[in-house]
Amino acid sequence: MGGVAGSLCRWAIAELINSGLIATFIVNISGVALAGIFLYRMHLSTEQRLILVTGFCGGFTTFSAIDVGALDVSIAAAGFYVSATVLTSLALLRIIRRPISQ
Amino acid sequence: MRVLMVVLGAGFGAPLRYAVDHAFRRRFEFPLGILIVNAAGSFLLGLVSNTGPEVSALLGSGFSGALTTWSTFAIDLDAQRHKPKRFLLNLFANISIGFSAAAFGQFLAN
Repeated sequence: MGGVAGSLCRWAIAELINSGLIATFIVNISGVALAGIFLYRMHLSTEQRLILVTGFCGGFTTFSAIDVGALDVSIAAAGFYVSATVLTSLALLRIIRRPISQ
Repeated sequence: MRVLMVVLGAGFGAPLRYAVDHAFRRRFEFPLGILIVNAAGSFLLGLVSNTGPEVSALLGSGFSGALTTWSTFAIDLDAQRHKPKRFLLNLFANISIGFSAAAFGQFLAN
């Protein structure tokens, strides 16, 4: 259920934004941030985690669209795109993980 | 119509990702299941990239989009930050195998 909802949101964003790679970047980055918040900032039960993180965020974000989308651009652009997605994801998770100072 | 295709595809893709990931995570510390679903989904999306809107919504955006994941991959990488070898292996295996699979799928489709 979570996976279907996430996939529909991803599809809707892809329909709204003309460039596939930009839509994929937005979806993947926001999905990682959301998954980080669910995992590190909220106390969820195993079932809630399954629906929200594995289901919604897992279905929302995608890997295949990165690979196929990047086949259409130059190797340099593909390398830049993948690096940007990895680094932004890890930076966001680092920020979300960090304890809030009192 | 395409909305229903996305729903149907994702209804199979997301549970399959969970089943594969779960089966491998019980046996191995390395997230091998995610590597497998990401590679398989990339191959499939490459294969259907030139098909009509209904088929690409069902098998591409729906099934392969929900089968593959970026969020779990990123969370795994984040958790591997103190194990540089494992981190680099996971990163480069997913990206290189994923790309090769997508390119191979697209090659077969043309």
